[in-house]
This record gives sequence, structure tokens and C-alpha cells, in this order.
Amino acid sequence: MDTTFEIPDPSDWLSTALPEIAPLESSLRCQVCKDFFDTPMMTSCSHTFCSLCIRKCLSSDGKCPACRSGDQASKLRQNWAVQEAVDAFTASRKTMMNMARRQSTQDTLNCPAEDEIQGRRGIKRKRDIGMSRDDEGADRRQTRSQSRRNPQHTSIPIGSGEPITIPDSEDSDYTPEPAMPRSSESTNTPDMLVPCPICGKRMKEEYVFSHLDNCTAPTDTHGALTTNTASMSRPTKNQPANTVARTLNSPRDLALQPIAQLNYSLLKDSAFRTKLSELGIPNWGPRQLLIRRHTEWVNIYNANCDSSRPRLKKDLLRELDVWERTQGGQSLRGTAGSNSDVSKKDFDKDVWRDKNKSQFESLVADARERAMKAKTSREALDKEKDGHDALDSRAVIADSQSPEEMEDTDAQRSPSYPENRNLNAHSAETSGLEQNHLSLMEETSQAEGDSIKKPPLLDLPHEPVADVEQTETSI
Amino acid sequence: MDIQVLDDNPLYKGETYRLKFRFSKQYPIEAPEVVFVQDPTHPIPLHPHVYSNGYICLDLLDRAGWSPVQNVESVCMSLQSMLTGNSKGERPPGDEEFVRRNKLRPRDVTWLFHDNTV
Repeated sequence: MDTTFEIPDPSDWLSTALPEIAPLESSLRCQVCKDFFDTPMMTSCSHTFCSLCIRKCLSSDGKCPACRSGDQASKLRQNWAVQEAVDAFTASRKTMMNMARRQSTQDTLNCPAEDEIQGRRGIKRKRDIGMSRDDEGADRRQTRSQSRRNPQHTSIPIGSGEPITIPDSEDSDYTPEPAMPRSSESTNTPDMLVPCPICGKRMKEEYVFSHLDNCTAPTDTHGALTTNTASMSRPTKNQPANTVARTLNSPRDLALQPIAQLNYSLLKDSAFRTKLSELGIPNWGPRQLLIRRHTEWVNIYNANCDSSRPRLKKDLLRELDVWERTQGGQSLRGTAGSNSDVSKKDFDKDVWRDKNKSQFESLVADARERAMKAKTSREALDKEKDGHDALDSRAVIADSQSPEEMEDTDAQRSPSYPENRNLNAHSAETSGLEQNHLSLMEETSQAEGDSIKKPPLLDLPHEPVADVEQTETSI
Repeated sequence: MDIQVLDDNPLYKGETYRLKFRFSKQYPIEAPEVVFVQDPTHPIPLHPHVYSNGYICLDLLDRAGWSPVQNVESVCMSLQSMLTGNSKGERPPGDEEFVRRNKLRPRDVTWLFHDNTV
């Protein structure tokens, strides 16, 4: 009920009247992310994980997380049966939980009438869920009712006859979950009519198929056609397969093709960057970050291709952006240290600082000296530009000086860094060089203007850095 | 996270040990860092694979031995079984030396898994 901020967990069931559901729920959850399966995929060793989870695992060490046998992302296959089970379970979980909780708070002597009421209530709620969840699921409703009506009716009297065994009988009734929500819909419809999946007109079940042959009101041509063929070719039974056929068709028709993985070691830097921009993802940053970003993107994108409910590319890009800010950005810092033995994952500030203290100190001294020189030779404009370069390289050195300083420079840089790039890409598309040249001129004239007053050392490098790359990208 | 060894192993009976889990952003792709922490009520268990600074030599916690299907519960369980299966009340060889010299974090230490008996 008021479970808005509650995170569902299999252990929720343990305190209710249906503790047996707990293992059922755990089996519907991915072992990697511990959440309900999202686009479950089966490995060649027959283990099932979320598409994104298993892709991440495979791209990080190429082994099945459960049994450690080697596998490849290209060998993954969808496990639609599990998807169906998860969908049905999550749709009815709340209702089941409410019932189970209420049951446990009641005394063991609960009267059958009450039980029946509860059952009805549950059914109604489920119907609401089913309705809102997919409006074009009409074909399922209609056919479900034929095949499943009887068990639904019989189960309640059995339960009410023996009050003590009710939890068990309900349990066994619930385990084949997919049947419940849809079956209840048409049984509870008072007029026993079902809507046409194409035009939505309500009619008796027997007439639906003949009506479908000459129904002329396709509201959504694509969806209607696929449902139509699906329900025609698979009458009454095999309903899960039916819905799968429908959901399966749509992504394939939209030609969502998985992206191929790249052999990064064979790709030159520039070719790699072009590749990334072709894919429509950011292509800035050091090579290592590019690789990580591309891997992540391939994972996200291909997982989306597997999904029965694919999202828009816009959403995927947002997800990549989140990754960039939470995990990807780290690699930037790691590689900014640009020492080959500092691999991103294992970087440990304290140890690194202790170990390289003397080097850092000499670098700092060195950089200060050079900064002084740069300051003295800033009169002429061209010299001033040199100064920028020097400053720029200085900033890079500063990155490697000590972890604290690293963070400082990062903090200064990171907010403006991606923005600059975005701006670059944008302006390159729209107004080309013009704008930049303007900004460059502005910049230089400003610098000329206040050549007496020194600008802050770490502030200035942004613009020249951006400009250099601007010219690269726009050419 | 506190763990106890529930059976009658005389080495660990009646003791409660405290574990510190440190999760990286890549969890569960990467293993968490798990060490025993010591305080007045929680000693560090005496075990040939547990250093006196709390570092644990267990393949499960290493990059090679870790698998994303593991979780806090399974790690605790492995540690419990590691403790309960042990009969030697000793520290690993070279413990003092290691504890004195080591500045690395557990995940950066190169562990050698030589002993499969415990």
C-alpha cells in the first residue's frame, strides 16, 4: 500500500503468510544486480542474467559470473519465458503482498467468506494493473479467459472449504503467475464481451476472429498488424509465446541492430574517434577513456536491442552520460597521471603520494620556476600564446603532482571540460568556425588588454585548449 | 558487519568479529574490499590466512576469484566456513614483516593462493 519508498526484496515475504514466495521471487532476480531481470539473457552455459549485467561482466572478464566458463556477448540469447514470468510477477506482487500481509495479521481462524472477498479484491486490483499496463493486450484477455476460466473458479471454493489449507492452495494458485491477472479480467467483465484488438469494439468472443478478418479501423497499424497475425497463427494456447511474438517483432522491425565490438588495439586513434562520432557518442578524452566509453556504449546499446521494450537513443545517451559522470570520469583522472603503472582501477592516492613524494616535489619546483619565466615573458602577443602552451603543459604536470592537487585541477576542469566539447560539437555543426574565431579574437584582445594584470594561472588554459581541438574537429 | 562462528571450534567460540566492506563503484563487477577490523570487543581472528592487521587472504576476494554473483552474505558465509574449518591457531608466515611493511590496500596486494586445504 504505502510502499512508495520501500525497496522490494525477497525477504519481504518471510514475515507474511506466504514465506514460500521468497525463493520464487529470488529466482526471478538477476544474481548480479539482485534486481528483477531486465531483458533476461541466457548464456551458453544456460545461466540467465539481465542483458546489461551479463554484457558488463563479459566485457570485463569474459566469463559467466555463475560458473566461470568462458562466453561471448554475441552468443547470448533472450530468455523470453523468464521475462514473461518477471513481468507477471512484478505486476501482481503488490497485491499478493497485501493479501499475504493481511492474512498473517489475521488469526489462524479466518472465515472463508472473508477470504473470498480478499480474493475478489485482489482480482480487481490486478485487473486495473493489467489495463493500465498494456491497452492493446486485448487478444490475450480474450483468449486467456477461454483456457483459464475454469481453474480460477474452482480454486476459490476449494480454498473456502478448508480454511487451514488456504495459504497453500492460494500459493499453488499463484505460482503459475502469468495466468492470474489476465484471466480475471474477462471473468469479471459482467457482459462477457471482449474488445477487438484492432478497433477496440466489444463483442462476443466467438465473433472476434471473424471480425478481425474484415476489421477496418486500425488505429495503430504496426501494432495491430502484428497482434493480428500473432493471434491468428496461435489460437488460444501458447499465450506467453504469443505476446513474445508481438514484442519480439517490433524491435526487429525497427531494425535495431546490435553494434559490433571493436578490436581496440587494431584501431588508430583518429579512426577510433571518427568511429565514436559516427555512433553519436562523445569522442573526446584520452584513448583509455575512449575504449571504456565505447565498451560501455556497446553494452548499453546492445542490451537495449535485446529488450522487448527498447528505449530511445536519447535515453541511452543520457544513461551513458550518467556513467560518464559517475564511473567514466574516473579513468580520466587516472590517465591524466599518465604514468603507465597507474592503471585506473588500482589507483591508490596515499601510497602513490608516499612513493613518489620526491618526484612530485621536484616537479612542483620545476613548474614554479617555469611559471615564473612564463610570467616574465608575456609582453608580446605571440609570446603570450607560448605562455598559454607552457601554462597548459604546466597544468598537465600539475595533475600528476600530487593527488590533492590533482583533485583541485580536476575540480576546476571537469565542469568546463565536457561543456566545451559539447559546445564545440554543436558549433561545428551549426555555424562552423566563425563563432570560434570570434571567441578567439575576443579572448586574445582581452588578454592583450589586461596584460599588466596576470590572469589566474589555471583559469586561462581552457580557451586555448578548446580552440586547438576545435580546429581539429571542424577540419 | 559482525560475524560469529556458530559451531564449537575452540579457537573462535564465543567471539564476534567485525568486518569492514568497502565497495567500489564497479561493484558487483569488482570485488568489495573486505578486512577484519579490531576494537576492544572485536578481536581479529587467529587464522593462517588472516593477517594481524585484518587483511584476509581469500581467493574469493581477489580479482581472479571474485564473481559478480557473490554478495555480502556469500562473502560472510565463506569467511565463516574458512574460520570454522581451521584448527591452527596461528598467523600466516611472515605476518609481522607484512604488516610492518605493507602500505597497500588489500585489493592491491598480490595474493598467492597456495593453500587449498583451508
